[in-house]
Amino acid sequence: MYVIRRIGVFLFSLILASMLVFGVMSILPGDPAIVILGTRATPEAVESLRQELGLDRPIPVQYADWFSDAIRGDLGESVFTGKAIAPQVVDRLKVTVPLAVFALTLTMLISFPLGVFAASRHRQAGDAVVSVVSQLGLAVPAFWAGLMLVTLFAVRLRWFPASGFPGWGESFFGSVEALILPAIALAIVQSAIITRYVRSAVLETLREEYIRTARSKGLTQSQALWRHGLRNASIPVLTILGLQFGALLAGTVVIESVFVLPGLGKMLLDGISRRDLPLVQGGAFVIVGIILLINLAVDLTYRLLDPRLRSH
Amino acid sequence: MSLLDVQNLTVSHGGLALVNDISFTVERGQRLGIIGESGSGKTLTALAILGLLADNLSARGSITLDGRPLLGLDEESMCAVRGDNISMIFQEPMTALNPVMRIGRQVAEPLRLHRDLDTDAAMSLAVELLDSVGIEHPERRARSYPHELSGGQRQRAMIAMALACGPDLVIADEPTTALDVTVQAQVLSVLRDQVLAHHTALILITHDLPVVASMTDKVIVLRDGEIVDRGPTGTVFDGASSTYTAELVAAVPPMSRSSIAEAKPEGDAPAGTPLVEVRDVHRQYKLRRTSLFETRPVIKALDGVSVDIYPGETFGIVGESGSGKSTLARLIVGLDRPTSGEVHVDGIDVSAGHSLRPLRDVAQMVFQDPMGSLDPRMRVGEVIAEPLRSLGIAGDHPARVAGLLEAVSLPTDVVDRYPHEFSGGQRQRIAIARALAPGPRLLVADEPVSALDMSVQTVTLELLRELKEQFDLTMIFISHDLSVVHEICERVIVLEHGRIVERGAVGTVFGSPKEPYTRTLVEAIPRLDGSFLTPSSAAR
Amino acid sequence: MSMQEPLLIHEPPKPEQRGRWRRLNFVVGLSIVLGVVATALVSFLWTPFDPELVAADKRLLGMGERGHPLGTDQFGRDLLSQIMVGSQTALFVGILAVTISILIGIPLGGLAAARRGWVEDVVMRFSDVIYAFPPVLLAILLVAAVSPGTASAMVAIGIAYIPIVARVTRGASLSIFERDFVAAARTYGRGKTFIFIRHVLPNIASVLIVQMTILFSLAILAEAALSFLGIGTQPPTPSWGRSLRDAQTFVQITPRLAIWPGFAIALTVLGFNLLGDGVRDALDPRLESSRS
Repeated sequence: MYVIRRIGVFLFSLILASMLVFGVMSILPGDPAIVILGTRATPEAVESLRQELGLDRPIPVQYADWFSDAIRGDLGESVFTGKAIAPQVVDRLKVTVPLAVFALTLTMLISFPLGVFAASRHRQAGDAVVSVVSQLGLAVPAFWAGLMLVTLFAVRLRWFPASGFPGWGESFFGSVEALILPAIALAIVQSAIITRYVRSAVLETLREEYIRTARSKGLTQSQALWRHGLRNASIPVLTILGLQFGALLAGTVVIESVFVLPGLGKMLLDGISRRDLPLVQGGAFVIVGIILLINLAVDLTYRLLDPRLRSH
Repeated sequence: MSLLDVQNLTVSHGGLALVNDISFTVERGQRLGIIGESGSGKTLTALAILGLLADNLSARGSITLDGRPLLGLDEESMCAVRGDNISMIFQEPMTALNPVMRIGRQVAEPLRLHRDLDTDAAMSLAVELLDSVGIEHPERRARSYPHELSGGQRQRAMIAMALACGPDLVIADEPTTALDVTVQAQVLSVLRDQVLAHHTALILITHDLPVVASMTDKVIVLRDGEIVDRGPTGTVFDGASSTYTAELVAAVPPMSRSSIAEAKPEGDAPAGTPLVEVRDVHRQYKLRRTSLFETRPVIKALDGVSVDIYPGETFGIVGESGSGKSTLARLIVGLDRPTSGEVHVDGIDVSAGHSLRPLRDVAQMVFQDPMGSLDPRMRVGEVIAEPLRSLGIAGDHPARVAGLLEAVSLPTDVVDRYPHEFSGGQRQRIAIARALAPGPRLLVADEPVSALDMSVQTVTLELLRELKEQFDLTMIFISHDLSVVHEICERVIVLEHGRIVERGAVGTVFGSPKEPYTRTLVEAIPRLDGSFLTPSSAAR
Repeated sequence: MSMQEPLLIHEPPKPEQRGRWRRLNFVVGLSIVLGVVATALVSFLWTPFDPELVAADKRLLGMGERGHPLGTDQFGRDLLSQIMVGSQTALFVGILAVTISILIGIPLGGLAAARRGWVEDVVMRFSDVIYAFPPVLLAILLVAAVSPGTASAMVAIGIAYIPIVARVTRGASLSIFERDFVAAARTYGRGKTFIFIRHVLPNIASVLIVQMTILFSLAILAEAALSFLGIGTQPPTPSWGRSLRDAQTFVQITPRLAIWPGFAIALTVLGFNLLGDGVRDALDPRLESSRS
């Protein structure tokens, strides 16, 4: 029952998001036809383009048209190249999604052990060092970290390529190699955030009474933490991981521009500079759709971790 | 040699001694009660024995188990003692059990740890243990999570867990304070039967004298971290060697003293027009749908309740948790509306849910938790003057506030202080003063003394009684505690699952209950003469 | 009754130990923030050079050369002056974005907590959907529809943070609305709006203040990212993010041009984060006291 309701919420949110994406573009001032043709275009030319794009129809009709196509996987055509948008998006996702997953994996590998370590050394030197490092990590903009990594590892040391992406079909290892520095740049910031959450979730859990009960049975502090604490602590950490995934995707948009990667972010920026509204609309809708899907997955995973949510 | 020998134990926080130089012994199979009010250091003593004090606390003195020193023992050896030789039962089983681990695994854990049993062997022993503490369908319950059990079952599971390895000593810290009185009786008798059967020593920590009286052989009384009284259970309470213990004993309501009901004179039958009329009131809460094809499940908090309350009386509403007693209180003061039925207070239709302004002058409420009922960001003076301002009552507010503070026996210069600067009892007085500010005729008190220490309870009850006379109030007094209601109320209704099961004069209802449920409630009350856990009444 | 309860007025014992470290957070954070604010104020009146002055003969000077403390960029503009003026943009964006988000987010969150039921459902569903739009994405949409610039960036960031503020406000308010002093206020006739403003807001103020400092630093980071992408602050207005965009092409030759603006961003963000932590620790002892 819960699953059905949650999927309903997901679909509802998806529709609402699509309205927002579409609405921002249509309702805000600025006639796309003029935007495309420039202010010096003749009124006739503008009018014929408006008809061609379907802009002379009422906005709800335009939306209904766009949305019904969109859910069938047709995001329309680019006004700049005239090519279908959906295949381009799929192509771009092959860079963006692996980059985000790579960065997320790195983030978890760094922040989980570090956070648990800091919590178990609460108020000792180890905890203080982790706190200071994560505080610094939080302050660094990911794209700047990217620039610095390029300067150091690509320009000075020449360990990795500074920019570009060969493509998965072209060279698998070359592609992985091209994603290493961008993923590290993203993971630096994300790890700082997640480490702090893991630390406080574990600390919070260690103060729970059932940990004291576990100790009274004869478990050591670390046994109590591993056997009783971690699963409980994982519940708030999962929430924040889900919430941060959106930030991570947004981060890839920026980082792709540092490393000149042909991802979704690059596509959106190109779309803006060419005034290609359908392209921006389609790309943005796909990103929001992915984020909503991740939220759905997180909410459903909760129920596996927390039996209290399962029984009603 | 004693089983447990505590000598000159001092627990301190920084330079401050929270437990100060206490000594006591427990023999094999002996049951010791530690009595104290909040802040007396009773829980710290227990944690010190187990070596589980928080890092910022330190313990000095000596604690030996079977001659083996425990204080200063290294962590590894101490872990071997915990759960095997000494185990502990905590107050709140909901938070003391791991919410995401099945009950069976939690009960089996000490066995796997100390007895080196494999999963299956430990689990089948755990099921046996659950059965022995009276949990029905133990195999199924072993696969349940804590939230799927009732409060009583959870605490039984805690007892099973504590007894798993057959320890020499079990420490129970307020094991039944969070439970309803009937459940308390069941859990206590299970605990007593188990320690007697296995010849296990017991330390029972509680603020509740009658519980100690029926569970233990000897008693120590703690106050501010020091032992003020000690001796065999009977003599300490009868002889009352220290004045403090005498005061604690005096604070026990008559009904909790002995099972022989003390006759309570019946007042005149109420007459005139009722101040509060409750007519066939239902209050239902709809839950979330669990299936597409069924209607939403409904909880009936109140299920057809009718009652009249007359001017000048003190009317009791008793019931266990979930009986609907607080819902009824909220309906009367207009904080909630009935699903069907009518509530009239002084001729005002409260159930209509609108234009309740006139009701505010008539009915005010006092809440249970004195921590939560005062806005921590407001000074005492503002807190008490708020109702006057809100209701637009003209007059010299500061003078009225001063008068109210005087009425509740607080000095008038506390108006500039914040609530957190006061103790629980004092905060409850401030809350009472606030409720009296608009000059109400009806005071609804929802568990007004339940969160307070026993001695403070008595004083607060006395105050309420005086104020009722002084301000000519009608009072509705809601409580789970029959003996308190018995002391202060004239008439009473007993609620169970949203229905009134019995009503009448307090002396009659509690003295010779007609309904089996009321009888169970009355019999479950622990008595100072130790008579409640007799085999006949300690039913499952 | 012989037992009068002693009238003792007691302060709860303050957990010690959290002392020095915590205060250090606060002091360092506050100093950095005050330093940034002072720099912004000074830069209105005075900078070492005109930050926008292009000088062909002074291109890419090193640190300290010809009186330029941090050197010059590829157009010969003084880097230090640019960074100083850039702090104006950073603070401006932070203040406006945070103001937008709290002006809408706090009432929304309060409404959800006070009304519950379908009102709460609607508010929270909406804010969940907005939350699925990261600030950068929202800015891209807005910029595509209107035009690039600081204003679009600020509005986009502000809107993107509304759900965060609404969520935090609702979460914190819910527990306050459950408390008995709220029920008491209702029994003496106070309405929910009054209760929210007079009783709930003061009790959740510390949570909101902490949230505001965090959002402030996030807004600075977001503006930097947008300007770096070329869809935030537009020339000639100096911005740290745009300085980094300009530096990108030269980063291989003169990393200095990328280091200093980045350092300014990181330091400012660090300042606000430390301040937020310091405020939280000062206002909420529970978070760090280790009672087990």
